[in-house]
Amino acid sequence: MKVMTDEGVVETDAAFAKQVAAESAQPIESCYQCGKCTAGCPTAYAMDLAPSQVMRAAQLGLKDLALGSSSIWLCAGCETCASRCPRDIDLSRVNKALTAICLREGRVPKERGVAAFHKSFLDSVSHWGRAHEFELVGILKTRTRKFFTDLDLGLAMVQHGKLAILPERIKDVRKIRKLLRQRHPQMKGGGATDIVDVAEAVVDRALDAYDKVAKGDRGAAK
Amino acid sequence: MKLGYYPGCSLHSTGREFDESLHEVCKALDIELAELPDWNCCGASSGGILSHEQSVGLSARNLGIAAEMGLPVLVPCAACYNRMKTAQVDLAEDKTLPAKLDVASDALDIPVVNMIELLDQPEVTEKLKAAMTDPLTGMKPAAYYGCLLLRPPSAVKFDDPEQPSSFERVLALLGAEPIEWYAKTECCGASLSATRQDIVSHLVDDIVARARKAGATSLVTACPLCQMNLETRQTGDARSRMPVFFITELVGIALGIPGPKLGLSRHLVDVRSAMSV
Repeated sequence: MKVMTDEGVVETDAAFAKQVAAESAQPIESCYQCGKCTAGCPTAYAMDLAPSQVMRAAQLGLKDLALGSSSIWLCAGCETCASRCPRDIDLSRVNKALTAICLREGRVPKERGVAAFHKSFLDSVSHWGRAHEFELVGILKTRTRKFFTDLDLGLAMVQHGKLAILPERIKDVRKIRKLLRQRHPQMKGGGATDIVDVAEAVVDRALDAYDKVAKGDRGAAK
Repeated sequence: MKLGYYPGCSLHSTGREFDESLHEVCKALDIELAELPDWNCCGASSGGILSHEQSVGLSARNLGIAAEMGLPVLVPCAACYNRMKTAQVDLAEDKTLPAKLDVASDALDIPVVNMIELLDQPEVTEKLKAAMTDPLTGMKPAAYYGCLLLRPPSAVKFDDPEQPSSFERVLALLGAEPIEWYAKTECCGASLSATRQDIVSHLVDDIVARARKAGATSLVTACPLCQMNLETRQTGDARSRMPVFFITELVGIALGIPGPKLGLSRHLVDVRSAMSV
């Protein structure tokens, strides 16, 4: 099907619409564009597409429009839309599915900083099994190169004992790392879009090799 | 009363005073807490960024640990609470998930409670009434629920998602006069605080302005991220910023527990102005 958008006549992609519906587990086809999600959305004012327009783009399968919008990243996940939708659609789940597809296809996120935060968060969790804020901020700053933002806040937090310098590592961290593992292989071309991704991939491989050796040792001991 | 306890990452770092005051309050109210051994991060708002399964998987492991303990779990952080409750719903709906993520079926029925919910239980309310020594007479806090304790109602639903009242009930019990206002379920901007400070300040300034207009002299939360955003993203004159308490700190004050034990000195916006009313 062809539809008219701001960029002219665009071919729709029905397979993409199906993919979004499946991945978000939401009945996106039943949205009738009432706009209630947009009306209640706290961050809609900063978005390029209104939340209901993201829904429409997903519904029609306007892939580039949906995946290229800032809106999918600026969704704070507050679930106001989900609790008010008369069609019982959880739009924040749809946004999450769209960000996932965007990252996995190796596209450049419209809100690079926000994407960098989420990636850095998961990096930290995969290292220790728990989020280590101090490290997370370090990784994030390496990715975004905004080294001076919030330095005063960070210092105040350290002074008040609210930012631990050392991480807490859980015993079963391997299980967490395995679960979060998909972040590299699933991304196109290894998913390395910045220096941290490259470093993470190297660390992952090294830890994998270590795990194999360690397992071999245990097996031999038995 | 004995409960499993899942602190979550924030209560060991940015929300330490929530953890400290919570332990003091539970001790005073004779609630025994057993921390989940070797718990992991719930993934918060980043967990689902690459796949929903990862997000559910992180909480599924914690639920499995809780099921082994066989105790209801207290989850004070709103994001952790939300992730855990949502994971239970997702694991029940998608029959293939529990096997894929290696979760026992009894993990789906473990009761998960948040701090307001716990304090609002009749058994705890009675104890609180009996043990209270310093009622918060004259204090006018604004109860701020935020998002994730109430939404989506299909998963969390411990109070009305649009017009909740349990938080105010707890504050009134402590002798305070919680104000009536209209931003108590508005969003603080959550993790956008790390990279889009402009958006979070826009939201936070609006919430604080509305609390002030309704006559509040302080805000009270039950979420470490809301607390941090509300406290650190207010703009304008540093001296006119509104103090932001954790609910357990106010309970602790009413129980006569000394401020340092409750972590009151950890606040980046001095809370004393709101206490000496």
